[in-house]
Amino acid sequence: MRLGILLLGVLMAAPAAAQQGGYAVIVHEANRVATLSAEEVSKIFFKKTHRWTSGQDVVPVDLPESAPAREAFSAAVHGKSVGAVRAYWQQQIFSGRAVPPVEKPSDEQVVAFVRATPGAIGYISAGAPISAGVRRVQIVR
Amino acid sequence: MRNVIRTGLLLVTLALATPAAAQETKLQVHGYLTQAYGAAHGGTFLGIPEGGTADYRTAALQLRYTMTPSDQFVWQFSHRRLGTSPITVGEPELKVDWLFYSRQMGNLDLRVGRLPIPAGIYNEVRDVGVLLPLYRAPYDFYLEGAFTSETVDGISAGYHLFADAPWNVELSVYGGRFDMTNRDTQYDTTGTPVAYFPDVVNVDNALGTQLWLNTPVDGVRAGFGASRLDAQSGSFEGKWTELHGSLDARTRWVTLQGEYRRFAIPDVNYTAGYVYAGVHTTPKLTLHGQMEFSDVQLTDTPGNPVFDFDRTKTFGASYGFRADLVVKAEYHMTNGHWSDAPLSPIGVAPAKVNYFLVSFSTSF
Repeated sequence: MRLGILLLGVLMAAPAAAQQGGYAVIVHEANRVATLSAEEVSKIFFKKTHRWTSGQDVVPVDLPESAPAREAFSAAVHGKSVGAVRAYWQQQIFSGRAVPPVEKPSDEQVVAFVRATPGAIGYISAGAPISAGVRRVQIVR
Repeated sequence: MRNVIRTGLLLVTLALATPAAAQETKLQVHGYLTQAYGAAHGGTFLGIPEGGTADYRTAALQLRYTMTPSDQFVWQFSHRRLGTSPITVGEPELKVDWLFYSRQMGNLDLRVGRLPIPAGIYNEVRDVGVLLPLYRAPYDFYLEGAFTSETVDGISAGYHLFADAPWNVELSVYGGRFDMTNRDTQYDTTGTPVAYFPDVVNVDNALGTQLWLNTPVDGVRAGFGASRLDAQSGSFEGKWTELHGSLDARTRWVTLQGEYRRFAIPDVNYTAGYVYAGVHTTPKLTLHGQMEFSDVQLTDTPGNPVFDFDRTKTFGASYGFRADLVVKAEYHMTNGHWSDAPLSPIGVAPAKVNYFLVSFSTSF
């Protein structure tokens, strides 16, 4: 019985652990933010939050839809599939309201973009190297 | 039209010449296309004849120049074909749909130029096939091609109240002028209707508002809107007022929508509404059912008689290969006075015309 509960617990925890481990959120090294909630990150990437608390413009940057890290990020942060997020942006684009964040084709280019843009926030694959000039932000629930 | 294009070119040139801000400067191009084939039984409806037509499509190309994260310039061209519809006679192959400057200031969004009118669930996206459950937004309510406009030449402001709260409000107001194409009826000397024709009416002093109440349940919201305008010519010259209400619930498995509106225009009250249900049997396959109605009350006639203007039932299915590639098949059973043929203005027996449409929609 106890073993069954333990296995059930492991099974239920596994997908969440995989999602958490699938991506890492990064900002410019000058950004003082250390932690953000998933909801705050979601609002940033849906362009519902426009400025950091410092007053600087927020510039989110995405990976391509085919990237596994994007799938993990969309599920964990937005609670939506990549397709559902795309549908949201189609609604925004074709009602003239907004366009999706800038998209960069690789982890390296996301890192380079964030390093070059003080207000930027991006995410990369969990195992991707983080070079000088960017900082990892912890996502709390 | 030439002036609008010339002004647009000038504004784009100015925008491109603006020194790059600290943020990434970018010109983005987006577009959509929906191509359909339709055929009708018992007459012609919205340009769909009994012999069928593939001359039925909507398309648009949108250019968006982001000067700074808060400043954008948007230019959209559109193209529409509605088969044999008399409403589109004289309509240009390509028209400037939107041409506006937008400035975001926190939760406030200001726009100036030719801009989409926020009204109901679908007015701003009524031609975007990948966003519509069926080929077009419900006809009785949205009145494609007659008595409405998707855009206004003027100014709009949108504000997101209590943006961080579970219950929050999106409020939009707009004002300006536009041209509206009404469907008018030509009669012979004996008073018999012989044809419909488009009547382009200049509209001034248009004012309107749209309010959305977002609930804590993701995808569930309620809307309310109102507008007024002065039609400067045509059969319905004078002041128009309009009210509408909307319920919109989109969940993983089902989408439920309902809208109701009431126009008070010179000599006529027009009320319309619909209910729609979509069942997402799989993430890609959706089954659709919709019922629409519209009534007309003649306020200049003794007794103010009310007519059932239209009753339409629709069912269909759509398959989304991706969010940007959707195919649809739908069947509409209409009974009323909207058919192109037989001619059935008020006072003539309603016409029963059924039609089907198969279409594919894509966007980028």
